Amino acid sequence: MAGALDRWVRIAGTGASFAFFGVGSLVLGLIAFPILAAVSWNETNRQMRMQRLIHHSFRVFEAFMKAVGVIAVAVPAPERFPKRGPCLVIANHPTLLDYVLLVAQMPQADVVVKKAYWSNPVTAGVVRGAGYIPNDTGEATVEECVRRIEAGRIVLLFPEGTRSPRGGLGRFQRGAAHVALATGGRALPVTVTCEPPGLMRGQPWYDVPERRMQYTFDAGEPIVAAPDGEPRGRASRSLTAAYREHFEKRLGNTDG
Amino acid sequence: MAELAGMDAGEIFAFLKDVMEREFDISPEEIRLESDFVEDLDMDSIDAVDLAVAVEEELGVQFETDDLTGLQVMRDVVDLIERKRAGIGG
Repeated sequence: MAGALDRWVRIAGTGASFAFFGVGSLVLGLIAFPILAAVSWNETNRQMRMQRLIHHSFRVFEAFMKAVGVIAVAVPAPERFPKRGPCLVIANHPTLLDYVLLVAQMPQADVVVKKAYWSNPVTAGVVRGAGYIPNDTGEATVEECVRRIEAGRIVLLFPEGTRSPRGGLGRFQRGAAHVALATGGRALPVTVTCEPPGLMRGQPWYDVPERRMQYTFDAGEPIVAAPDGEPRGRASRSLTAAYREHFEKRLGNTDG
Repeated sequence: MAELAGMDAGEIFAFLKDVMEREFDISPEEIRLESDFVEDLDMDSIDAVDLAVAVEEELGVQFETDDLTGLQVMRDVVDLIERKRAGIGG
């Protein structure tokens, strides 16, 4: 009886959280961002201010979801999260909230996201205002990520390009490796886990797990590309394999 | 630089397999004329650019952007290079 009640409370909390997120995104996109744009002196300054506002907004959102009992969040090595760039951060993507909760850990992040977010009324204001990078343009996406990192910024990229399949990892695209190879070879891997699993691909928001979701954002040691002068096609393949191996090991350890 | 003028379709295909092993670590045994670049060979748009650059440098041909759109399988590239060769010859 208490378990069923707890579940209904978390369904209500999840619904309230998403409503909070939707309204918050619209407020950011329609009110806060235009004001910031008006008082910023160039595009970079505007993006930095907006990303900082998004970071603080997502911290509030994280606190709200914790308060209503939907999630708990653990960050075992917070000192490894970059406070400033240049830095490439890569992460696996098991649930709908990964992006939000990762950005809540970093004061600045140029995030590589699906092009569809530019036409979604809830997210369009955020992705445009923050200057996020669409992930559908191949080499142009890589070049933009490289440009941002060379400008001293933090870029957050999900090598799978979309949410992971349930219980595992999807195919890793090589964009992250190309970005790393063009910017000194380093990438900071953050392993995201959610136990029990929830908000996975294809799972409706109201299908909440049997207990509160425990998120863990585990930043590892940077993965560094081997400096051996291979053609970039080969180098990107071996580096992508190294990324995948890292996440597989971490997820295996976590599950075990 | 390889001599494109004297190459037939089989030799162009063999040349491409050699380039793809060297550039992308794709085993020549995996590559067929009907191999799909994305589905079978796990190539992406950046690989396509690198392949085009390698072919341009080593065969001395010049690709236009339009040449590279719509290429799906290995045979498409062999055919494209053959057309370029005919253009050189003519």
